[in-house]
Amino acid sequence: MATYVYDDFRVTFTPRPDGSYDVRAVDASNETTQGVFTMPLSEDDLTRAVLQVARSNSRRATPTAPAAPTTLAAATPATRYVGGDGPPAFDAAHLGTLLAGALFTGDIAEHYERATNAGAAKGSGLRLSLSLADAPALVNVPWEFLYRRPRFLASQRHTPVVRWLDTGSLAPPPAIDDTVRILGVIAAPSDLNPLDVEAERRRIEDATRAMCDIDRVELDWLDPATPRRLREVLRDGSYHVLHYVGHSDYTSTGDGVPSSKTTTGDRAPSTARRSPTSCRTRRRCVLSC
Amino acid sequence: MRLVVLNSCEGARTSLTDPYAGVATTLIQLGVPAVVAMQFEISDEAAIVFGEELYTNLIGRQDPIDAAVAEARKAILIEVDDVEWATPVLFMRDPKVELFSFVVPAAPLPPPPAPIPIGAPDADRPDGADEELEATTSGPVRQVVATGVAGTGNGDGDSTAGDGGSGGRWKRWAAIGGGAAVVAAAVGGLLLAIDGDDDPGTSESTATNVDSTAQTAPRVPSGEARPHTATLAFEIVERNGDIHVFELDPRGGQTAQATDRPGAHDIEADWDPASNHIAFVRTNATTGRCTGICDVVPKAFSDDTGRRVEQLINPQNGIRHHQPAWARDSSLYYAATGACAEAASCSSDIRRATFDRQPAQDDPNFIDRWTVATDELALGGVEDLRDIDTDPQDENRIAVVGSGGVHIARNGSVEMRLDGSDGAVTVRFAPDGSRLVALLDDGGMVFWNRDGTPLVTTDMSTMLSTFVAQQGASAGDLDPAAVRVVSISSNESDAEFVALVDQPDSAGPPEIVVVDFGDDGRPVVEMWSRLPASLTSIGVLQSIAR
Repeated sequence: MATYVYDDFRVTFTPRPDGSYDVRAVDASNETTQGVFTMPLSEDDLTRAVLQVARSNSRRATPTAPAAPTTLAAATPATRYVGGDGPPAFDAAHLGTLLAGALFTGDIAEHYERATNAGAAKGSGLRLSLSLADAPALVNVPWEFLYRRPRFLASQRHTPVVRWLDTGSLAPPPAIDDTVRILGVIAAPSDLNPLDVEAERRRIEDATRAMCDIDRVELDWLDPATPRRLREVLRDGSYHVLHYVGHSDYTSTGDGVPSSKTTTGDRAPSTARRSPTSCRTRRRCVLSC
Repeated sequence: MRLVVLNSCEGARTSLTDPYAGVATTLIQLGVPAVVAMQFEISDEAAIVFGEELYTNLIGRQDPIDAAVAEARKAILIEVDDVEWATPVLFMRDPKVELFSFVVPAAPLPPPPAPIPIGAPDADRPDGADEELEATTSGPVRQVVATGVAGTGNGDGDSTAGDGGSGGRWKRWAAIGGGAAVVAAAVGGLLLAIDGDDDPGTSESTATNVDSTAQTAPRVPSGEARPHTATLAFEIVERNGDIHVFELDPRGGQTAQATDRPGAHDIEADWDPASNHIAFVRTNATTGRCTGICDVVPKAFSDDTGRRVEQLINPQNGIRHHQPAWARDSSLYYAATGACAEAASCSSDIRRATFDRQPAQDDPNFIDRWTVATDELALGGVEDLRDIDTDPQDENRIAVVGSGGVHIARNGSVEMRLDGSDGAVTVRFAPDGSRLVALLDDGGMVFWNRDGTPLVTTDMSTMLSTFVAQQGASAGDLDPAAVRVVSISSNESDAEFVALVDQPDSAGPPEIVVVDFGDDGRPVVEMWSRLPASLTSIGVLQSIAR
């Protein structure tokens, strides 16, 4: 049984011909409100803001320092930007305020306020579920920065932000009467920048040790982390969680690319859609890595 | 499979025309109920913190995935920085459907590691402390295929870690993985204070003590030494040439970045343990709202997003403000130096500023606003000023290093010059103000009583060699004869001084040495350890702030 209960506040975006979006909000009591969302930033400004975050993060992620990227696709682990004279630091609160101001307008703002208060009155949080399946251009918007004074919504336990991709019915949760099984996959191909994967491995092991000791968690590490081994290990469908540590890219052609490695240690070619998939049965899934 | 965590870069992104072109969204489309992925590049440090917190809350506390992600975000915010917390994205097929249905109640989570005060004999240390300090991993973790990557270990762990001779008060814990834990232990005495209700230096007390009225009154009762901090602050020269202030939280060995302005050189940081403000000198910044002496409250010590860098001392044309040093009453001493002709000795005035504090209720990026209330000359005409430190027992008393050695001044008058201080580079009071130490330009270290009585002159290599010989600890890959003291701090727990040392020709990380005074009245090494890799991986450590 969950230790914390949420009401859902589902917001669905539907594109309009003028580039804005119809917004439909439904709360836990099925009260519905309508509104219009217009991106508060131009695509260039949004790209610039996202780039600043990427730069900020990459400055800590790698010691290498090639030229600054000029496109989103260039802000990948292979072309790290590491600072120097540049635009002012990214202001997360400002961006978040703009996004929230554009989303929570008129009736929807009041509706969200009512839902928040209703949840609080009965001790529930309010989950903001953003339905983006019909609005792919909004998937890359950093909604997690949504800011309503005095808080970033997503940084608070009682107001999480979730991206909802409604792709059909979902199997009920498996009853966990003993052990949650986690499969750890560390893919560090020798031809990509090194990552501190050992540190993460230690931390995950440390974090789960007490639970492992009482058989609440079983943590296995896949080695070697090749696509073949992954398929073999997942074949019996006994793992509940897959934890992937490594590189991935987002290419200009629009394919997500997690990096696994070949048996010789180099990066194995892969895309998100490549390789067999069989995820339709509960607790059984072969990932497309 | 109920959950996939993609701790890799940009797994959350997709194309502008196809919502299912990205890695995470494809997995959702394929039937995985929940995917956590990163929408930007994520640093190793943030990825590690996130993973740890996610599982602790999701499985250990049996939180819903939404709550577990929120808690993990908060951990990044506190331990890493104020932007990366938004990097993880939670995708779900149906947010209303739980991932797991736990039949048994949540497992009790392990308590935080027991603090170990400096100087505690081995017999007084809790059972199992050695294992905790080493931070090695072993236990129920197993590999699917028992080849290749080891399932346990601590990086390049030193096999001598923790196995020094018995009877010593501290041994050398040299493994990088355990370094943070060792530093945590170094300030363990203070951790005990943090757990108490009356600690004036913790974040909680600081946050709540910033009340709705302006205040200039000292926060430390008269006659008491100012409280110790639980944190080491470091200046790190990053690989791109930026210099920023970082902090090390000894409670978990985590690091956090206090300043991050691109291109800036943030140097001469000084921590005020009473208010948790860090004053520092910002140079080389092409943009930003602060030059000269600025301050920041690091996010690890605030209850929300931290306080961004603000101007602390207003700049003046032709005057260089530098060497900030907080006094026990949260007033600030600093140097004001005019233009100096090349090769000529510079003369500096030392000034002292007090501040009004106003809460910043309108702007969540501020905990409070400090504006200068008074700014007075404290000591004039110091030639070739090199360092300032304040007396923990007396806010009106300072130690000043100039070309003439170390002078003690009080209320604007020089009390004394410390004998044997020729060539001094830095000076520090001990946390209780009972002693001082100066580092000389030849590597020597001179100790005095607070009344100026000389105690001993030695150097770090001598102290380390003695430590190795007496304690039976291994010197590992560090040659005591080659070490040099990079900087000294006076502000750690009950230790007298903390020194950051390294070897000029070594590729290894700097090491940290805690020095105390033995029963024979001589300084001895209490602890010797490497700094955590999370700090040293960022760049070159330049100094301990205090």
